[in-house]
Amino acid sequence: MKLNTGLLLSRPGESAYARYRQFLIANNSISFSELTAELKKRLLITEPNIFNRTAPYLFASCATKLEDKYIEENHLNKPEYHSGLISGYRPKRCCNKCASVGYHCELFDMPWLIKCPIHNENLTEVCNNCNQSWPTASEMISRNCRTCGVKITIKELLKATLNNSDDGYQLIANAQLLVHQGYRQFSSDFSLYYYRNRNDDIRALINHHSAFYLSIVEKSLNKQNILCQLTKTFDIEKKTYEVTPIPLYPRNTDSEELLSLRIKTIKKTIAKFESIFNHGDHVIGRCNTNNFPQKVCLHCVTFNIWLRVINYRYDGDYEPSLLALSYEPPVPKIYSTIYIDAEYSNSNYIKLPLTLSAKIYENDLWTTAMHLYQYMSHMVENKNTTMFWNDFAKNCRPILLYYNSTFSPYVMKLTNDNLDVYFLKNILTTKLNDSKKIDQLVSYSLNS
Amino acid sequence: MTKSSKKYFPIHPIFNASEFFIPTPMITELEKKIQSWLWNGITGGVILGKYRIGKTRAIQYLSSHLQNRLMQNIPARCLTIKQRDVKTIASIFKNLCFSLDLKPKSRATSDDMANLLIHYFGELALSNDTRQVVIIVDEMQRLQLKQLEAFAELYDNLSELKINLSVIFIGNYEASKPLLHEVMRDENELLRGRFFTQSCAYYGLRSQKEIKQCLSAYDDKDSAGISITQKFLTKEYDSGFRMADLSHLVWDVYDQEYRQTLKLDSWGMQYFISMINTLIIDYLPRYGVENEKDLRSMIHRSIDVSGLVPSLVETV
Repeated sequence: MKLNTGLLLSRPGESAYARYRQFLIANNSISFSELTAELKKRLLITEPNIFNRTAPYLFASCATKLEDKYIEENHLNKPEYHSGLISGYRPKRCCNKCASVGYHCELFDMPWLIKCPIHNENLTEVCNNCNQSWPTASEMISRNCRTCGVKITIKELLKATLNNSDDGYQLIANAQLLVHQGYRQFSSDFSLYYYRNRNDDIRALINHHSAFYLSIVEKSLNKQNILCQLTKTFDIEKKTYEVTPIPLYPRNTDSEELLSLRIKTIKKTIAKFESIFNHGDHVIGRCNTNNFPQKVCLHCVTFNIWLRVINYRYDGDYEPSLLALSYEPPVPKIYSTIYIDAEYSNSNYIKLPLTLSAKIYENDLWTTAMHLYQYMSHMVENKNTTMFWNDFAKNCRPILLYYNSTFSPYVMKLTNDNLDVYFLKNILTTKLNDSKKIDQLVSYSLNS
Repeated sequence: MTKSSKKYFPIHPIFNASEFFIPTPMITELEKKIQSWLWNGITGGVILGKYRIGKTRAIQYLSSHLQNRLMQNIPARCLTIKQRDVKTIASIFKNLCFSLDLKPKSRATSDDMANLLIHYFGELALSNDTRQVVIIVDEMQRLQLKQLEAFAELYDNLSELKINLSVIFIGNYEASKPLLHEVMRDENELLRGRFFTQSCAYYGLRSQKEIKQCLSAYDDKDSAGISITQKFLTKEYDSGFRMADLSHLVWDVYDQEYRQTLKLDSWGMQYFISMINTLIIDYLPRYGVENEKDLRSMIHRSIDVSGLVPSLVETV
């Protein structure tokens, strides 16, 4: 028995999820039992009941093998990169027009990509046709939707295929190639490591999906004009620090020296707040915020909550009930150690130079403040005093150091004792912070 | 066949009528014709000829030899319309799925089957840069006009996917006339324009030269380095005898005793192959190749055995 591979729907840069869906679309007139039986026969699988509708990952991998075999036998161009389907994977966002022709790419999951490069339409978290979340691989067979299911007729495909630009697909393919080249080039994961009194904390420093990370990859590979078509170009600064390795599982990673550096950095940041927001009679943190959320100075309330969140001091004139936030972001810490999880070599720890510790901490303080500002703005806007984290996360893209795209502005590479650190110049330099207000920075973050 | 004869005649393609094949001058001519259609973007054509002249075998052979201008293979799939088939569009899709070994669900609709087929042909066409694929429909005289819509639907949908489908119909000249008359009517211009603008007549053997070319194939060495003549007439072959040498005698007997008498316009390949095989397996090894009178008699007997005459008696 012959099976279709779904190659007719194949487009550059597509994900494993898309490949599996295309296989199912191309064979949607064949029963699942016939499909599985034939795949087993083709790939000489003898184990019974090995394919499961609810856990189709092996099935998807066999379908991919069938497609690869077809590509090889017919001397077709092999796609440059294909990753496997991840168990339980559900697309975070997708373009509805792409979905209706069976297309999806990993790039759609990147938080900084807002619009589909092919159709210039907003990426959505739900399918506009059936109003459900994009299906997982196991859900797609039973999804009776012409946009996100697999029962798509050729007429519907043809209708949706019109006006697709090949340039958009190529742009996606190039950007994804860049992502994967970046994984190889900057293969290590760097995390901030903290240990004291039997408590340890590891916070990721690198976001492989961030636009900033990809810009670094683009720059280091000397390939311009790929990502800048998708996102804005970043002003990148590189510094090299000499670092010293420290023994495995270091203990008590904060020292007196570090704690005094923490106070110094907080004071420096407060001074920046004051220089930006103190004007005339207005003194940051001194506004009357009793009528929250009806009448409030957002900058002051953010400032006061921020002081509490960072565990510095509390001397604002607001009611304690205002601080009963349903969600509080993690307390920024000053770190002295970096934990490196290397893919191709042993993991290790290095001691951070004090200047770098202070820089990272200062950035964390700023992003925490901006995050709180964003949170408070949302509460004020919705006249809501009890906003839960889930609601917030659903409606806003949080801008925490470890979470957000733009505001995770570090890419690192360790070569012997030299640590190359790439910064996002605009955010970390005092020049920008002096001249812009927080809401502009939040806006910058969200639009990046 | 007994055990001893099996030992004496090791299995050779010549004993398998459906496997044995020799390329003929008409096939070369047909290949050129179809190739020119495909190279010039012709979306379909008709090949007509009498029964038993080897149309089907020729097209089966050609289906794996079609190439585009870039010398890349153009995949072709054959479909034979059966007499017993239901005369609906769905039956064409079903028949196509069956002949391509695609197994749609038992309750699959025409749309379901068409989808499956479009994906199938679309993927096939990806193997060449001109995105071409061919469907060869044999026994077209058994089709009804409305069934041609099935091919038109495949053509239209594939065309929108930028895949170029060509459909080549093969049929008996006389029996296909009613369908072709219908196609030629004004209201069927769309169908005619797609598949019936080109036609080609296919014949059997018509000259001594063509017979000589076919007989030469018996003298050509195979992959094992041995020819059919050498295999069955070893002694004669070593003495310099070649089957091609018999071409004038074969033509002479056929021309004088059959062609002119029975007013045949060509010699069907099936009868010709059957006649030559009888000659080379049974008569020549037994009676030799020396005496011309004997040879004439053997050729005459072989033609009779081939079924050419009974077949004519039936149709006349």
